[in-house]
Amino acid sequence: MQRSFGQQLDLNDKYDGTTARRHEVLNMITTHPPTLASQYAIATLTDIVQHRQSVTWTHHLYTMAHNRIPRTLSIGDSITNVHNFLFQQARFASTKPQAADNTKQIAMVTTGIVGATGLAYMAANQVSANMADEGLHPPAYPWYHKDPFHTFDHAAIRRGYQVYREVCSACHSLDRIAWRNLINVSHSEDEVKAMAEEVEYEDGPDDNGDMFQRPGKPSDYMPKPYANEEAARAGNAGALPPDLSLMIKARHGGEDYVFSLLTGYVDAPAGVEVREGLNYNPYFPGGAIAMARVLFDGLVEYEDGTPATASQMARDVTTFLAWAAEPEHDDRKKMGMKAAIVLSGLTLLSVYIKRFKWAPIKSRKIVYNPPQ
Amino acid sequence: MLGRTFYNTLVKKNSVFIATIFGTAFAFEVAFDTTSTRVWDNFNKGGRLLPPIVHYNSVIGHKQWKDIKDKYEQ
Repeated sequence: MQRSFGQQLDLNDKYDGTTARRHEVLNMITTHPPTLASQYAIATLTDIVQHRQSVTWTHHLYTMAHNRIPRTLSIGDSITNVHNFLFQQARFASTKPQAADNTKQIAMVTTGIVGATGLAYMAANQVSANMADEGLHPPAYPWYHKDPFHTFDHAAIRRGYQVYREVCSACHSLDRIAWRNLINVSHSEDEVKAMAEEVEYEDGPDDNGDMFQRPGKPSDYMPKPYANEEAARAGNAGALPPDLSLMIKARHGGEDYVFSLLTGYVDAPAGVEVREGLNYNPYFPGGAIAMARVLFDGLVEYEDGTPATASQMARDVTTFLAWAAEPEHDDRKKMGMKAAIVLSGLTLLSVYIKRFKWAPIKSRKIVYNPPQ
Repeated sequence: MLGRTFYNTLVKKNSVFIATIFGTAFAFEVAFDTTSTRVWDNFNKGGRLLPPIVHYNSVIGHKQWKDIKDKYEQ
C-alpha cells in the first residue's frame, strides 16, 4: 500500500508491528522526498513510543531513514534525540505546521504545566505520614452513646467513676465536675452526699477571719490531687497530668483515642529510644508518654460484679470522661429527637398550606378575548 | 357540618378561641412529652432490637439512671 503524496498521517493508526508494516514504512522513507519521509518517520516513531515497540526496530528504521535525510544519525542515538531531530526537520521543511505537530506541542505544554503544578503542590503541602510523630490513629470503637438515639450507658459511668476515683484521681484533676453533677447520673443523692462528706474542703473566713476545714457538700467540685500546677509537675518528673474534665473533647479521636491510649502500652519497637522516665505508647504523638500503664486486670473491684479487666476499666472510665466532657449529652439527644419530629410535622403542614393556598392560582386559566 | 360546629363553638368568640389555642398547646405538650419519653426510654432500655437508624450494638443493654437506680437507692 502506498500513501499518496501529502496525505495526512494518522497518528492513531493502529498497527501490529509486523514485517509487512515495517517494509511499508521503509519503502515510504526511501522512495519519497526527505520532507515526507521525515514526517512519516515522526509519525511512526510516535506510534512506536506510544506502543512501546522494540528499540531494535526503531534503530533499524533510522538507519534507513538517514540515507534520505541529510544528517547522520548514529545507531546509538537515543530515541528522544532521533525524534527531536526528525521533528525539527519536518517543521523546517513544511510551510505550515502539521496538525500532528500542534497536538504534540499542546500535549507537551499541558504535561509541563501539570507536572510543574504537581511538583509545586508536593513541595508546598508536605503531608507527614509518620505515625511516630502523629500518634497511631485509633480504631473506631462501638460506643453506645455514639448512636444518635442512645444515651450514655449509665452503669458504665458509675463504674468509670469508680476507676477514676481509685486510679486516675491520684494524678488527674476533674475541675469542671461537682459532686452534685453525679446525682441521678451515676449515683443517688444520698450516695453523693456521703461521698462528698469524706473529703475535707477549706472554707471561710469565719467570724475571726480564719479559714477552716469542713466536710464536702454536693455543691463542691471534685478535689484536686495537687494544690497547683507546680506541685503537679514536681510530683511527676516535670510532666503535668492534664485535667480530665474536657479531655474527650480536647483530643483528636475522642473516646477512641483515650481508650486506645489506656490499653495501648507496649514495649518500644527495636530502634526506638525512650528516655528514662517515659513510656512507649504508639497512640501518643511522639510515642513517649510520661504516664505509665496504670490499668491492669483486677485493679479495682466493681460492685456490680463486672469482671474488672483492663479493657473493661478503660471502656468504663472513657465513658465516664465522655459524660464529664458532655453532661448534657442525654438531654441533648432526646431534645434533638423531639425537635426533629415536631419540625418534620411543621414542614409537612407548611407544604400542605402552601399548596392549598396556591391551588386556585396554579390551576386557573386566563382567557383573553380580543376586542371585536 | 362539623366545620360549622367547630367554628361556632371554638373560633367565633375570641376569648374562647385564645383559650382553645392555649389549652390545645398544653395538652399537646403533655401528650407529646409523654409519648416521646416513652419511646426514648424504650430505645435505651436495652435488650431488644431497636428501629433501623440505630447502631449495630442496639441489642446490648443500655441503661439510663432510671433503669439502674433501684439497685442503689433505698
